[in-house]
Amino acid sequence: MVMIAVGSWTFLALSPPFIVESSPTIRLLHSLTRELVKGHFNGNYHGVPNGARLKDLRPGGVILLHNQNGAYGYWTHAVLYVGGGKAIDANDFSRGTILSPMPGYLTYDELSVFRPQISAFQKQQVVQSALQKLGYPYNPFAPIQDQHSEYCSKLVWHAFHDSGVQLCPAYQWVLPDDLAHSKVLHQVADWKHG
Amino acid sequence: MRWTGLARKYFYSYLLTITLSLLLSILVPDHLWTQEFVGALWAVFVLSTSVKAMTRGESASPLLRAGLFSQLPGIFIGTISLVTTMLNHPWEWAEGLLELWTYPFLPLEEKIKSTASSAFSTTFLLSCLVPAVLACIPLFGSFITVVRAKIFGYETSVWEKH
Repeated sequence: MVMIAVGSWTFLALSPPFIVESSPTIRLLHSLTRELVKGHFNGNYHGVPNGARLKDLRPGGVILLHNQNGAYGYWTHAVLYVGGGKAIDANDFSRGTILSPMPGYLTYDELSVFRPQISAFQKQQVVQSALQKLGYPYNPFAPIQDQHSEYCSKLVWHAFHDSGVQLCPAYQWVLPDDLAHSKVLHQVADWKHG
Repeated sequence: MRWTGLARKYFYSYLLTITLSLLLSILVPDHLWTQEFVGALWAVFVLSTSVKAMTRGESASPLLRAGLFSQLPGIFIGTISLVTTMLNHPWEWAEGLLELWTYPFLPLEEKIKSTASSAFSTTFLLSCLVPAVLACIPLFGSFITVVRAKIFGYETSVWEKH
Protein backbone atom coordinates (compact mmCIF):
# COMPACT_ATOMS: atom_id res chain seq x y z
CA MET A 1 0.00 0.00 0.00
CA VAL A 2 2.87 2.33 0.90
CA MET A 3 4.57 1.56 -2.44
CA ILE A 4 1.33 2.38 -4.34
CA ALA A 5 0.95 5.65 -2.41
CA VAL A 6 4.60 6.69 -3.05
CA GLY A 7 4.31 5.64 -6.71
CA SER A 8 1.09 7.64 -7.29
CA TRP A 9 2.59 10.62 -5.49
CA THR A 10 5.75 10.58 -7.64
CA PHE A 11 3.72 10.11 -10.83
CA LEU A 12 1.45 13.07 -9.99
CA ALA A 13 4.35 15.32 -8.95
CA LEU A 14 6.45 14.56 -12.06
CA SER A 15 3.61 14.36 -14.61
CA PRO A 16 4.39 16.08 -17.95
CA PRO A 17 2.37 19.22 -18.82
CA PHE A 18 0.02 17.45 -21.30
CA ILE A 19 -1.20 15.16 -18.49
CA VAL A 20 -1.34 17.98 -15.91
CA GLU A 21 -3.42 20.20 -18.18
CA SER A 22 -5.81 17.42 -19.16
CA SER A 23 -8.15 18.09 -16.22
CA PRO A 24 -8.50 20.64 -13.38
CA THR A 25 -8.47 17.76 -10.84
CA ILE A 26 -5.14 16.40 -12.09
CA ARG A 27 -3.77 19.97 -12.16
CA LEU A 28 -4.71 20.45 -8.51
CA LEU A 29 -3.32 17.06 -7.47
CA HIS A 30 -0.09 17.80 -9.37
CA SER A 31 0.22 21.14 -7.53
CA LEU A 32 -0.63 19.61 -4.16
CA THR A 33 1.93 16.81 -4.46
CA ARG A 34 4.67 19.34 -5.32
CA GLU A 35 3.53 21.70 -2.56
CA LEU A 36 3.24 19.08 0.18
CA VAL A 37 6.81 17.93 -0.37
CA LYS A 38 7.95 21.47 0.39
CA GLY A 39 5.72 21.64 3.45
CA HIS A 40 3.53 24.35 1.92
CA PHE A 41 -0.09 23.54 2.65
CA ASN A 42 -1.53 26.99 2.11
CA GLY A 43 -0.74 30.06 0.03
CA ASN A 44 0.68 32.02 2.94
CA TYR A 45 4.08 33.59 2.29
CA HIS A 46 6.44 36.06 3.89
CA GLY A 47 8.97 37.36 1.41
CA VAL A 48 10.22 40.90 0.86
CA PRO A 49 8.06 44.03 0.27
CA ASN A 50 6.54 44.21 -3.22
CA GLY A 51 5.79 47.95 -2.94
CA ALA A 52 2.02 47.66 -3.48
CA ARG A 53 -0.09 50.75 -2.76
CA LEU A 54 -3.33 50.09 -0.94
CA LYS A 55 -5.10 53.15 -2.33
CA ASP A 56 -5.88 51.24 -5.55
CA LEU A 57 -8.09 48.84 -3.64
CA ARG A 58 -11.88 48.98 -3.71
CA PRO A 59 -14.28 46.69 -1.81
CA GLY A 60 -15.15 43.69 -3.97
CA GLY A 61 -11.72 43.72 -5.65
CA VAL A 62 -9.85 40.46 -6.08
CA ILE A 63 -6.18 40.31 -5.10
CA LEU A 64 -4.02 37.59 -6.59
CA LEU A 65 -0.67 36.83 -5.03
CA HIS A 66 2.42 35.06 -6.30
CA ASN A 67 4.95 33.22 -4.21
CA GLN A 68 7.99 32.03 -6.16
CA ASN A 69 8.26 28.88 -4.01
CA GLY A 70 4.58 28.10 -4.13
CA ALA A 71 2.48 25.95 -6.38
CA TYR A 72 -1.19 25.82 -7.45
CA GLY A 73 -0.16 27.63 -10.66
CA TYR A 74 1.47 31.03 -11.21
CA TRP A 75 -0.86 32.73 -8.74
CA THR A 76 -0.45 30.93 -5.45
CA HIS A 77 -3.06 32.73 -3.38
CA ALA A 78 -6.27 34.75 -3.80
CA VAL A 79 -8.14 37.04 -1.40
CA LEU A 80 -11.12 39.37 -1.65
CA TYR A 81 -10.78 42.97 -0.46
CA VAL A 82 -13.74 43.91 1.73
CA GLY A 83 -12.74 47.46 2.67
CA GLY A 84 -11.26 49.01 5.81
CA GLY A 85 -7.78 47.76 4.92
CA LYS A 86 -8.87 44.14 5.29
CA ALA A 87 -9.31 41.18 3.01
CA ILE A 88 -11.27 38.00 3.58
CA ASP A 89 -8.94 35.04 3.45
CA ALA A 90 -9.21 31.27 3.75
CA ASN A 91 -5.72 29.79 3.75
CA ASP A 92 -5.18 28.40 7.22
CA PHE A 93 -6.60 25.22 8.77
CA SER A 94 -6.08 26.49 12.31
CA ARG A 95 -8.00 29.74 11.82
CA GLY A 96 -10.43 28.97 9.00
CA THR A 97 -11.91 31.86 7.03
CA ILE A 98 -10.82 35.16 8.57
CA LEU A 99 -10.50 38.88 7.98
CA SER A 100 -6.85 39.63 7.44
CA PRO A 101 -5.11 43.06 7.43
CA MET A 102 -3.71 44.04 4.02
CA PRO A 103 -0.09 44.64 5.16
CA GLY A 104 0.23 40.84 5.46
CA TYR A 105 0.05 40.60 1.65
CA LEU A 106 2.66 43.22 0.90
CA THR A 107 5.52 40.73 1.17
CA TYR A 108 4.50 38.41 -1.65
CA ASP A 109 6.75 38.36 -4.72
CA GLU A 110 3.91 39.77 -6.80
CA LEU A 111 0.55 41.31 -5.95
CA SER A 112 -2.06 42.00 -8.58
CA VAL A 113 -5.34 43.86 -8.12
CA PHE A 114 -8.32 42.84 -10.24
CA ARG A 115 -11.53 44.84 -10.33
CA PRO A 116 -14.81 43.12 -11.27
CA GLN A 117 -16.76 44.62 -14.17
CA ILE A 118 -20.05 44.60 -12.28
CA SER A 119 -22.37 47.20 -10.72
CA ALA A 120 -21.65 48.87 -7.36
CA PHE A 121 -24.68 47.08 -5.89
CA GLN A 122 -23.33 43.70 -7.05
CA LYS A 123 -19.91 44.52 -5.56
CA GLN A 124 -21.64 45.24 -2.26
CA GLN A 125 -23.45 41.91 -2.52
CA VAL A 126 -20.15 40.13 -3.23
CA VAL A 127 -18.61 41.64 -0.07
CA GLN A 128 -21.68 40.73 1.98
CA SER A 129 -21.75 37.13 0.82
CA ALA A 130 -17.99 36.83 1.45
CA LEU A 131 -18.43 38.17 4.99
CA GLN A 132 -21.07 35.52 5.62
CA LYS A 133 -18.35 32.91 5.09
CA LEU A 134 -16.31 34.17 8.05
CA GLY A 135 -15.48 31.30 10.38
CA TYR A 136 -15.94 28.62 7.71
CA PRO A 137 -13.34 25.86 8.01
CA TYR A 138 -10.39 25.71 5.61
CA ASN A 139 -10.32 22.59 3.49
CA PRO A 140 -8.15 22.65 0.35
CA PHE A 141 -9.47 19.24 -0.73
CA ALA A 142 -13.14 20.21 -0.71
CA PRO A 143 -14.60 20.56 -4.21
CA ILE A 144 -16.59 23.58 -5.36
CA GLN A 145 -19.92 21.85 -4.59
CA ASP A 146 -19.07 21.57 -0.89
CA GLN A 147 -20.83 24.36 1.01
CA HIS A 148 -19.31 23.65 4.43
CA SER A 149 -15.71 24.74 3.93
CA GLU A 150 -13.59 27.11 1.86
CA TYR A 151 -10.11 27.64 0.49
CA CYS A 152 -8.75 30.91 -0.94
CA SER A 153 -9.93 30.88 -4.57
CA LYS A 154 -13.07 28.86 -3.79
CA LEU A 155 -14.10 31.53 -1.28
CA VAL A 156 -13.68 34.28 -3.92
CA TRP A 157 -15.53 32.20 -6.52
CA HIS A 158 -18.39 31.48 -4.06
CA ALA A 159 -18.74 35.14 -3.03
CA PHE A 160 -19.29 36.13 -6.68
CA HIS A 161 -21.37 33.06 -7.49
CA ASP A 162 -23.73 33.72 -4.56
CA SER A 163 -24.21 37.25 -5.92
CA GLY A 164 -25.11 35.94 -9.36
CA VAL A 165 -21.72 36.56 -10.99
CA GLN A 166 -19.85 33.67 -12.61
CA LEU A 167 -16.10 34.34 -12.52
CA CYS A 168 -15.18 31.12 -14.30
CA PRO A 169 -16.80 27.73 -14.97
CA ALA A 170 -17.55 25.68 -11.84
CA TYR A 171 -14.58 23.31 -12.06
CA GLN A 172 -14.34 20.73 -9.26
CA TRP A 173 -11.51 22.86 -7.88
CA VAL A 174 -11.09 26.51 -8.76
CA LEU A 175 -7.49 27.73 -8.60
CA PRO A 176 -6.23 31.36 -8.40
CA ASP A 177 -5.06 31.04 -12.04
CA ASP A 178 -8.66 30.31 -13.08
CA LEU A 179 -9.71 33.62 -11.48
CA ALA A 180 -6.89 35.45 -13.30
CA HIS A 181 -8.36 34.28 -16.62
CA SER A 182 -11.87 35.43 -15.71
CA LYS A 183 -13.54 37.72 -18.25
CA VAL A 184 -15.36 39.50 -15.40
CA LEU A 185 -12.15 40.60 -13.69
CA HIS A 186 -10.04 43.45 -15.05
CA GLN A 187 -6.45 43.86 -13.87
CA VAL A 188 -5.92 47.40 -12.57
CA ALA A 189 -2.57 47.22 -10.81
CA ASP A 190 0.39 44.92 -10.41
CA TRP A 191 3.46 45.12 -8.20
CA LYS A 192 6.46 42.86 -8.39
CA HIS A 193 9.29 42.51 -5.95
CA GLY A 194 12.49 43.84 -7.54
CA MET B 1 -4.55 -11.84 20.23
CA ARG B 2 -1.87 -9.64 21.76
CA TRP B 3 -2.61 -5.91 22.01
CA THR B 4 0.16 -5.09 19.52
CA GLY B 5 -1.65 -7.20 16.93
CA LEU B 6 -4.86 -5.29 17.59
CA ALA B 7 -3.02 -1.95 17.44
CA ARG B 8 -1.54 -2.93 14.07
CA LYS B 9 -5.01 -3.94 12.83
CA TYR B 10 -6.53 -0.60 13.90
CA PHE B 11 -3.60 1.40 12.50
CA TYR B 12 -3.47 -0.18 9.04
CA SER B 13 -7.24 -0.16 8.69
CA TYR B 14 -7.20 3.55 9.59
CA LEU B 15 -4.55 4.27 6.92
CA LEU B 16 -6.76 2.47 4.43
CA THR B 17 -9.74 4.56 5.60
CA ILE B 18 -7.82 7.82 5.00
CA THR B 19 -6.74 6.66 1.53
CA LEU B 20 -10.27 5.59 0.64
CA SER B 21 -11.89 8.81 1.81
CA LEU B 22 -9.29 10.89 -0.09
CA LEU B 23 -9.96 8.85 -3.22
CA LEU B 24 -13.72 9.19 -2.76
CA SER B 25 -13.47 12.96 -2.41
CA ILE B 26 -11.74 13.02 -5.81
CA LEU B 27 -13.90 10.42 -7.53
CA VAL B 28 -17.30 11.44 -6.15
CA PRO B 29 -16.86 15.00 -4.84
CA ASP B 30 -20.62 15.63 -4.87
CA HIS B 31 -21.26 12.86 -2.36
CA LEU B 32 -19.58 13.75 0.92
CA TRP B 33 -21.66 11.08 2.65
CA THR B 34 -19.40 8.44 1.08
CA GLN B 35 -16.49 9.80 3.17
CA GLU B 36 -18.66 9.81 6.28
CA PHE B 37 -19.69 6.24 5.48
CA VAL B 38 -16.05 5.07 5.21
CA GLY B 39 -15.22 6.75 8.55
CA ALA B 40 -18.27 5.16 10.21
CA LEU B 41 -17.33 1.79 8.74
CA TRP B 42 -13.88 2.00 10.36
CA ALA B 43 -15.42 2.95 13.73
CA VAL B 44 -17.79 -0.04 13.51
CA PHE B 45 -14.87 -2.31 12.56
CA VAL B 46 -12.82 -1.19 15.59
CA LEU B 47 -15.85 -1.46 17.85
CA SER B 48 -16.76 -4.97 16.70
CA THR B 49 -13.11 -6.14 16.85
CA SER B 50 -12.87 -4.83 20.42
CA VAL B 51 -16.13 -6.50 21.45
CA LYS B 52 -14.90 -9.77 19.92
CA ALA B 53 -11.56 -9.49 21.72
CA MET B 54 -13.31 -8.82 25.02
CA THR B 55 -15.61 -11.80 24.69
CA ARG B 56 -12.53 -13.93 23.88
CA GLY B 57 -11.02 -12.98 27.22
CA GLU B 58 -9.12 -9.74 26.62
CA SER B 59 -9.39 -7.11 29.34
CA ALA B 60 -10.07 -3.41 28.80
CA SER B 61 -6.57 -2.04 29.35
CA PRO B 62 -4.84 -3.81 26.41
CA LEU B 63 -7.71 -2.64 24.19
CA LEU B 64 -7.21 0.94 25.30
CA ARG B 65 -3.46 0.55 24.77
CA ALA B 66 -4.11 -0.76 21.23
CA GLY B 67 -6.43 2.17 20.52
CA LEU B 68 -3.92 4.69 21.84
CA PHE B 69 -0.99 3.24 19.89
CA SER B 70 -2.99 3.09 16.66
CA GLN B 71 -3.86 6.79 16.98
CA LEU B 72 -0.48 7.86 18.34
CA PRO B 73 0.56 9.61 15.08
CA GLY B 74 -2.70 11.63 15.14
CA ILE B 75 -2.35 12.54 18.82
CA PHE B 76 1.28 13.58 18.20
CA ILE B 77 0.43 15.63 15.07
CA GLY B 78 -2.54 17.24 16.87
CA THR B 79 -0.34 18.34 19.78
CA ILE B 80 2.43 19.60 17.49
CA SER B 81 -0.02 21.56 15.31
CA LEU B 82 -1.55 23.22 18.37
CA VAL B 83 1.92 24.23 19.55
CA THR B 84 3.11 25.45 16.12
CA THR B 85 -0.11 27.44 15.66
CA MET B 86 0.45 29.15 19.01
CA LEU B 87 4.03 29.89 17.91
CA ASN B 88 2.65 31.64 14.79
CA HIS B 89 3.24 28.86 12.24
CA PRO B 90 6.99 28.32 12.04
CA TRP B 91 6.09 25.45 9.67
CA GLU B 92 2.89 24.12 8.17
CA TRP B 93 3.57 20.39 8.10
CA ALA B 94 1.71 19.59 11.32
CA GLU B 95 -1.53 21.34 10.31
CA GLY B 96 -1.56 19.76 6.87
CA LEU B 97 -0.83 16.30 8.24
CA LEU B 98 -3.51 16.73 10.90
CA GLU B 99 -6.02 17.62 8.20
CA LEU B 100 -5.00 14.48 6.29
CA TRP B 101 -5.08 12.28 9.40
CA THR B 102 -8.59 13.38 10.35
CA TYR B 103 -9.80 13.55 6.73
CA PRO B 104 -12.41 10.75 6.99
CA PHE B 105 -14.12 12.68 9.79
CA LEU B 106 -13.68 16.18 8.32
CA PRO B 107 -17.17 16.34 6.72
CA LEU B 108 -18.65 15.59 10.15
CA GLU B 109 -16.50 18.21 11.89
CA GLU B 110 -17.38 20.82 9.28
CA LYS B 111 -21.07 20.45 10.11
CA ILE B 112 -20.37 22.16 13.42
CA LYS B 113 -20.42 25.84 12.58
CA SER B 114 -17.22 27.66 13.41
CA THR B 115 -17.33 31.00 15.15
CA ALA B 116 -15.42 33.74 13.39
CA SER B 117 -14.53 35.44 16.67
CA SER B 118 -12.38 32.69 18.16
CA ALA B 119 -8.61 32.57 17.60
CA PHE B 120 -8.86 28.99 16.33
CA SER B 121 -11.27 27.44 13.88
CA THR B 122 -13.69 25.03 15.59
CA THR B 123 -12.89 22.42 12.93
CA PHE B 124 -9.18 22.69 13.75
CA LEU B 125 -9.77 22.29 17.49
CA LEU B 126 -12.05 19.32 16.84
CA SER B 127 -9.41 17.81 14.56
CA CYS B 128 -6.86 18.08 17.37
CA LEU B 129 -9.28 16.16 19.61
CA VAL B 130 -10.46 13.56 17.08
CA PRO B 131 -7.40 11.21 17.36
CA ALA B 132 -7.87 11.01 21.14
CA VAL B 133 -11.59 10.28 20.72
CA LEU B 134 -10.85 7.61 18.08
CA ALA B 135 -8.29 6.03 20.43
CA CYS B 136 -11.10 5.54 22.96
CA ILE B 137 -13.36 3.57 20.59
CA PRO B 138 -11.96 0.18 21.75
CA LEU B 139 -12.70 1.23 25.33
CA PHE B 140 -16.26 1.95 24.27
CA GLY B 141 -16.30 -1.55 22.78
CA SER B 142 -15.35 -3.02 26.14
CA PHE B 143 -18.07 -0.92 27.77
CA ILE B 144 -20.62 -2.37 25.34
CA THR B 145 -19.42 -5.90 26.19
CA VAL B 146 -19.80 -5.27 29.91
CA VAL B 147 -23.27 -3.73 29.50
CA ARG B 148 -24.34 -6.55 27.19
CA ALA B 149 -23.10 -9.12 29.68
CA LYS B 150 -24.99 -7.39 32.46
CA ILE B 151 -28.25 -7.15 30.51
CA PHE B 152 -28.20 -10.66 29.07
CA GLY B 153 -26.40 -12.22 32.03
CA TYR B 154 -23.46 -13.56 30.00
CA GLU B 155 -20.67 -15.33 31.83
CA THR B 156 -17.87 -13.57 29.99
CA SER B 157 -14.23 -13.77 30.77
CA VAL B 158 -14.44 -10.07 31.59
CA TRP B 159 -16.34 -10.92 34.72
CA GLU B 160 -14.08 -13.85 35.53
CA LYS B 161 -11.08 -11.53 35.42
CA HIS B 162 -12.62 -8.96 37.70
